[in-house]
Amino acid sequence: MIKCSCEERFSDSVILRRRSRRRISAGILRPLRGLRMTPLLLFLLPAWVFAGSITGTIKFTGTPPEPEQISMDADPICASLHVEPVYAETVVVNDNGTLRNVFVYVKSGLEERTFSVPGEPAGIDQKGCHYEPHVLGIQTGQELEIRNSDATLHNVHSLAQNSKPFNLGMPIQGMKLKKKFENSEIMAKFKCDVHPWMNAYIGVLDHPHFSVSGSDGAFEISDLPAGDYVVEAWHEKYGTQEQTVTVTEAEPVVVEFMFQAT
Amino acid sequence: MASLIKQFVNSICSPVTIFTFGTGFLILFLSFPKQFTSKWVSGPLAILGIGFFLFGLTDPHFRKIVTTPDNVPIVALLFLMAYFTWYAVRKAVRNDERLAQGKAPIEKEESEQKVLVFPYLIFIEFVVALFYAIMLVIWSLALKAPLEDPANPTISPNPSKAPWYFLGLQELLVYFDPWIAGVLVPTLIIVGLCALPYLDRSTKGSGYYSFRQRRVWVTGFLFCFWMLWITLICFGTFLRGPNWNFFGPFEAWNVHKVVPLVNVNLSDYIFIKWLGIGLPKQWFIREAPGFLLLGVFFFVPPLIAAKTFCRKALQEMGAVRYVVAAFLLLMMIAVPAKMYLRWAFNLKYLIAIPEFFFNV
Amino acid sequence: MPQSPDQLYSVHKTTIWFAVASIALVVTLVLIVFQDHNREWKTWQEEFVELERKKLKENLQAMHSKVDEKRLEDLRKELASAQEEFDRNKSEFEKLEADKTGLNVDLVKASARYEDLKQHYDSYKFFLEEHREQGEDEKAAQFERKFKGVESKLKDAKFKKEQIERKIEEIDARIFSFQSVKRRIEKEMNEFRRDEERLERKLKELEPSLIKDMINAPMVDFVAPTLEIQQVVLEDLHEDFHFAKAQRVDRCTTCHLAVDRAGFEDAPQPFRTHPRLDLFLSADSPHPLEKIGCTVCHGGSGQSLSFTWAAHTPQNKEQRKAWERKYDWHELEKWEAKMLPLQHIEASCAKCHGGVVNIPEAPKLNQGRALAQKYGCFGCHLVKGFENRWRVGPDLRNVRSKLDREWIVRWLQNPKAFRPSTQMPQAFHLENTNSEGDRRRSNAAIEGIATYLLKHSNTVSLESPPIPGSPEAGKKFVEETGCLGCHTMGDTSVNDHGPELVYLGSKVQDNWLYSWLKNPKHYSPETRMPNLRLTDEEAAHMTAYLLEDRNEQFDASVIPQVAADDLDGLAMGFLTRKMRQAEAQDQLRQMELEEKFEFVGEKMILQQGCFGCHTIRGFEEAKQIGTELTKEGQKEVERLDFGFVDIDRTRYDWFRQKLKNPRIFDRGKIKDYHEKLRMPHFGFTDEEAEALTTFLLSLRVEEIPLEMRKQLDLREQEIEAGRLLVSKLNCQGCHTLDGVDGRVRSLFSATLRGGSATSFGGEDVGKEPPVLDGEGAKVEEVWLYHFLRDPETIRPWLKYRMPTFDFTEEETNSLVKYFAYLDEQEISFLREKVKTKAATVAAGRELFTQFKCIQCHQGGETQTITASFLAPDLAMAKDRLKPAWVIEWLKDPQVLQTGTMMPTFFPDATTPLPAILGGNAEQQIKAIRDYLWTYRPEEVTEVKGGSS
Repeated sequence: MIKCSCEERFSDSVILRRRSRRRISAGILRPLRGLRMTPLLLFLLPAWVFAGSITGTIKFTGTPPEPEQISMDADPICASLHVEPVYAETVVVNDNGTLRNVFVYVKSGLEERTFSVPGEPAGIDQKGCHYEPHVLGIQTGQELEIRNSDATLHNVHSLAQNSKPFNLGMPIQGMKLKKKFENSEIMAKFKCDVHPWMNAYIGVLDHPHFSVSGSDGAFEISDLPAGDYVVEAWHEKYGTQEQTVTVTEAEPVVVEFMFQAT
Repeated sequence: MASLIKQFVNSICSPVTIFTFGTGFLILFLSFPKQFTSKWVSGPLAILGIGFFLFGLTDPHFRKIVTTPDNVPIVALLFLMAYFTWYAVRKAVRNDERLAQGKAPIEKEESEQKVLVFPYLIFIEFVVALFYAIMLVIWSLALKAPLEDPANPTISPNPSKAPWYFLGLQELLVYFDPWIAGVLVPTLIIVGLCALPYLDRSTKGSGYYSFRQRRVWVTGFLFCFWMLWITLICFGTFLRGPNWNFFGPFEAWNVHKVVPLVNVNLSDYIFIKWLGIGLPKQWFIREAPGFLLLGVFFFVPPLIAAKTFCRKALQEMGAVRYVVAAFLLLMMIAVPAKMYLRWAFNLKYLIAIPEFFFNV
Repeated sequence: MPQSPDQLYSVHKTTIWFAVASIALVVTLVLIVFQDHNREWKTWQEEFVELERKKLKENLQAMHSKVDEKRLEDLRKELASAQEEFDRNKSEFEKLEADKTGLNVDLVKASARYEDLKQHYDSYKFFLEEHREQGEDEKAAQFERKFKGVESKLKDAKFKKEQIERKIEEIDARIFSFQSVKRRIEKEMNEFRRDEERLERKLKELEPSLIKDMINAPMVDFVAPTLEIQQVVLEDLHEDFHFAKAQRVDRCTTCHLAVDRAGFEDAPQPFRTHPRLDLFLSADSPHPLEKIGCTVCHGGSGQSLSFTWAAHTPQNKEQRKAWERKYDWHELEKWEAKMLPLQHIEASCAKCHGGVVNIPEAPKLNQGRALAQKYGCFGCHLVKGFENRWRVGPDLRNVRSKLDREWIVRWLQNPKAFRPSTQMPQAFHLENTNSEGDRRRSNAAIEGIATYLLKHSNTVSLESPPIPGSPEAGKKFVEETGCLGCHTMGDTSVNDHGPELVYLGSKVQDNWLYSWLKNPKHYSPETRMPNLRLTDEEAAHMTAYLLEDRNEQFDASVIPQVAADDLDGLAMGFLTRKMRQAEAQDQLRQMELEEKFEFVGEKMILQQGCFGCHTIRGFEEAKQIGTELTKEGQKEVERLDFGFVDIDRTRYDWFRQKLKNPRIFDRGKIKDYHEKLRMPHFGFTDEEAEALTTFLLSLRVEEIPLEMRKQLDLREQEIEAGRLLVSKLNCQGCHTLDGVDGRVRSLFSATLRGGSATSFGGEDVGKEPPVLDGEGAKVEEVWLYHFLRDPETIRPWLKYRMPTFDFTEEETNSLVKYFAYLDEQEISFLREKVKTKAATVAAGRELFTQFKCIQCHQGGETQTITASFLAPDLAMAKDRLKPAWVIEWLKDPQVLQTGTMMPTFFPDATTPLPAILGGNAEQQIKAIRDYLWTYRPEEVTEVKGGSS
């Protein structure tokens, strides 16, 4: 009875109110997204001028576990790509005592807002029989470019629970495929069934406020409007931690997470 | 206290006690009609009766049975019959007194004021009819017709009861073969009622209430109606429960109640218990005592009576009418007599010929 | 007429009474009308009107808030401007209108002249033809003249008429163009408000009004009342009134007004929408209201219009009390067709859905059926339609090789004391046999049964484990080879098809267990336990592991001594059933002690019906001991003995009580030991008892016309036969099949499914026992047939084994048909041929190489090259797979099997290799398939060489 065509005539204020109440599934409104975003971004612009950010590092205490060496003998092509011994990326502790590959993101506080989908794709590469990067953040609807830089067969098996899972065979070197995630998820796992040691974790969010700790253990979430947020740090082995943060326009908020060896 | 009374009532309630006490009370009542119809006796009795009923209503089981829509008229019947009996006997006592003093009955005086049937009587009757109609409408509005669930031939209700006016006859089925209880007795009742005006041709007491002038007939009638009709209907309505077992008025109807049924035929008593020779093979020898007994019952008393205290009656009535009256009277007595035999001696049948499906 | 003071009558008073009576009569008349008019359902309908209005208003409001006011405003403005435009040209418009009026008059005239001439023309024509035929030339000529004359006139008249018509049409078009803009806007506006207006109209209809009150008034309401009895007459369903069959008429909708309308899900009863409109009542559901009605499922009196007489049935005591208070409800004692209480409603499904193992959407009934099978109800009770069931207890014909006397005695004392999860019910020392004397008698009986069983048993040859097993290794084998696909062990209780693997050390010897594991059918030819094809070592290790577990408490329990008196008393009880006291005593005196035990045991087995579940020598022909339950669901309540147990006098309360405590109805009764109730105690939970009660209530024999039943075609019957076999052998214990997730699979991918990882777990569904959904479409029937009879290794990486079931020919065929028909396949025992061309095969080989298929798909012998060989050997493909399936599989494996490790190489029907076969994905897929049909194991190395 309620015709779809009516919805096209929603004024923007109506959309805002409805979104706050209930997330509209993308299906019906997808064609409207462009139409909807333009005035919204204009509306948000003043806030962004004075936007704040969250920075910090992921500290690690205790003795890091002995890195697990991977034997790539099973696939000679993989083995030939490495001279040095290869270790698993489950726990990587940087030299400055920080933890790498921790996914930090704003868990709550952004529910009232909507965000545009970045036009440029995020990327993940299969290189030297490893996923690169090992941990990655992406927005819902954003394209993910999956690349195979190896001369062997890889398959990208997504174990995502909230989005449609897929399993792509990539037998050709330099081959690229594009995929999207429909719904947010912490974390969607990628694995390669041909090379059982290969895996990666993708954090899918409906906003761009996330970061992954790198080789210095630092992260930065920028362009955040002032407000109260819950920030969560996720690690493959050590689980999650969260902190409540008040972001002001004045200067970046520094947050530290501390993971402990088990 | 209340439960003690209920228990006591339940414990004394059995067909034999109720029947015996009822008959005893009727005899007492008719022996002392003057005293019993005086307000000093009848008043307390009425209060006792109504009081018992009201007390009974406090009991869920009693209440359920008494207030079932199709049982309500029987309750009314009890009280109405008691009232009318009392009313008639009281009038009869007054008239008897007046007659003893040599005066005419009251009705005679009343009958001297004459009015025309139409319109006066008709008008009154019409108004009464209207009230009667009103009463019926209100009754039917207040107590819905006791229609039950759609019938299911695979389930017969337990107890299965006849319409209330046949419950007396159904009660007789306990003591008699169906052909007696269902055919013979009802026929005799109708024939007997038809025969009454030809048997009792006395003009005494017609048009006015009187007891002393027609003591035998009134007593006979009251016994038949009260004891053999109303009492049995009350048994069937209120006191007969599942499996036709007898329950006290305050006793819950338990489907599984089991009572011993150890009834024995007359032939068993005589040939096995007393003579100890075993049952004869031929049925006519086996049942000879029964036939003999029945013969004695039906022939000897009228003969003796005719020779002794009924000689005058025989003269007045003539042989045929005397014989008919005696037969009807004996049949009337035979019914309770058989019931008593059952209660007292567990006697099943006087004559039992299963070979011909003939049992008495 | 004399008037004396003590007159008995008074005209005056009589008149007064007459007046009183008249008034009273009028009052009673009013009462009668009122009572006749005042019906329960009318109150409900009035209430519903209010509810509906409330809902409509809400909907209207919601709709109103959604209307684009701005657009509407725009339209209004447009309309105004259009109107203005129209007004400006009004004079012209009016002139046109006037012209049209004038022309219309002309048209009428012209039409009349034309019609008139046409009449004459036809008439002349008739006479002309007639006279010509008769040869009357003169007259013919006369008419011909006339005819000719009128013919030309007619032509003129027609022309004139058509000319006027055209003119009018021209004017119409111009008038229309004047109005068109306005009309269009008006139409759009109407469309805008159409839904709203519809609702408003509806709302207006429902508004209370004086007129409505009047047409609903007593005496007038026969014409067209708004409050009306609603009914569905069901053509094909009948109601059995015992004397006659009548068409079923359901008037339930008189009060349940919104039961088939969505939108009243939260309304109070009786107005609530049916919770499963997709399944029931709605016109496009399988059970539309017009065809099925209400009472055929719910029961109750469809024709009744009052709460009580519709035979509503409360779900529980609280509801019963509430109804008694609220609706003055009482049970209809004599009527059978009462409503089913809601918790047992699924019992009705079986009326029409016969011949199936599971009825769709009836989980409770299915659970009840499964329980009845599992606990062996059909062993003692005959239920027509369930005769094809199997015995659930172990075969006792060789029991001497397995168990000793002490164990049997301890076990019979209380089976649950040995293994709490056992299905074996307790038959002795229950509520009604718990007195001191009865306990002693029972002990004698138990000893007797043990004696009988051991005496009437053969021995089978047993092997001892060749090596002393290691329990640790055994544990691993038990977990990894497949035992958990049927048995519960420790914390892993995904399957309870076979007995729980506990305390075996207290029960059996190692040689029995070893022999049993090696080949279960050796000890018990009819066992459902399959052969896992264990090696001697595996079996030895497993034996060692399983025997480690002992039940110390059970081992230590005291075996009661049996006194000679008790044994004699029990024996006498059995003997005197057939003979007189003295003869029995004579016979007893002649028996030895052991003979007495044996005699008592035999009689006790007969009395308790042990042979219902166990195969016992000497009882091959014994009759089932329990009541036939074929019509249990319609058994008269009077025929159920409630004893002194204070529960509601209903069938389901009796069933539930009987299931929960089978001997309770002996409570308070004085009975001889032999006469006591003998149904054993299963220890059902409340939930199980409820499910079984639902099952029992479903056992009815009711006449439902054939066309109204769900009828199975031949294929469906084959599928059901297969389903029964599948449930008997617990295929779904391991495999995902027929809508049931393989139960053991949850242990594997525990991390995936949110559980904790197990020793053999991982996150790969590929390591789980295979999914068999779609198996019929996947594999060739002939391959399946041989595989079932003698399984071969397809997935060498799997530790779980497909056991050998030793299927009979019949069973194998049944399973093949089951799989094939489940996927709507035609059965053919000939392999489908694939015609291959050298060119395609070459292209296929190239693709095969480029896609590096060999990296995963390798045969057993060549698994040396890569780590991942988690895919079947493709050399088997052409024998095993159906060609069409391979194509579908290659297109997108995830569609056929969610979560499979096989990736797609053709995402979105594109290929990464545009050079081969013109980059056509479909042709490439076909080429790969064709190549596979020529593929030989030797090629592995060749291909491998080509790729690296």
